[in-house]
Amino acid sequence: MALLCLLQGESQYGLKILELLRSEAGLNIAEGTLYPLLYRLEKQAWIAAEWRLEQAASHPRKYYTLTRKGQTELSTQLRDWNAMTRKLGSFLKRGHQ
Amino acid sequence: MTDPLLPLGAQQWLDRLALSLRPLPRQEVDAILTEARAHFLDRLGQGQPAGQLLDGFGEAADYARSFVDAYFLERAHSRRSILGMIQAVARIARRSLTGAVGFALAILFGSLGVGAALCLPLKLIYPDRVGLWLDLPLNARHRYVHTGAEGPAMNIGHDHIVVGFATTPPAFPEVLGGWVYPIFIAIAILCLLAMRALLARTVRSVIQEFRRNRL
Repeated sequence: MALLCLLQGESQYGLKILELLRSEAGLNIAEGTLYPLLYRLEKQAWIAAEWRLEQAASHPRKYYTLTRKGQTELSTQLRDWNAMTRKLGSFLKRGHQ
Repeated sequence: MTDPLLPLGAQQWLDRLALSLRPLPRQEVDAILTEARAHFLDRLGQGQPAGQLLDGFGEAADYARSFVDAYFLERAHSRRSILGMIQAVARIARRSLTGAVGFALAILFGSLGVGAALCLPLKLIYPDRVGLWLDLPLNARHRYVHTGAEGPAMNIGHDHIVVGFATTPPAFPEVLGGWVYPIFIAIAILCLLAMRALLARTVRSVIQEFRRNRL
């Protein structure tokens, strides 16, 4: 979900995604987990990929973008996540009262 | 092929990765290798020591397995061909309980279906040796005396119920007669449909298992 969220509105390549997930989402995922996950999401058509050769880079990079199908999936996952955290939040608050 | 931009350890890891990715189409292998190489070059560009480049990737064979499993599972899920699904589920059966159970049940139903289908031409060749023999009542003590050597296991039951192909026809009555054909055709179709449904369900469950674990 964090990965799909990160690709919402902006294309990113593997290493950048890894760094953003670590620095902004606090998810310390390994390279060996991230790239196979990106591969699976691409196969499911939740994200799309394209190779880009930027001027500053000496080699091409594979950029990933959220697709329409991925956007729908993200909305569903966000709705479920919000409902779950809301319920859990009220339950924990009740425990303190 | 030697890559002058990469340290030897990373090159050797990429070579092992290429070997382990052999079941995938060439284009997919090239994309995975190029992406890993780009990652290494970016890390080197950021000043990461050559010795730490492989940190986080794990063994090349394990890393490759994630891609190969995902490729076969997604292909089986989208195409729904029986062979493709068997291939995908057989690959995953050693590492997933759902996969192992699904594979075992699919093989059971598949064997029953194929067995029933094979009985049809055998019935034409050996009309007396294919059918359903019942020695009633079923709760009676063992009465059937084997009159000959047991043949290949294409029959179910040895004492009171014998169904399928019997090398030596049992001494008690065969009850199906000409109904053998429609009934065995129905069994074959139902078993193969059950196998297909089981495989599809297993593929779907394993993909969901993957999503739950990794997302």
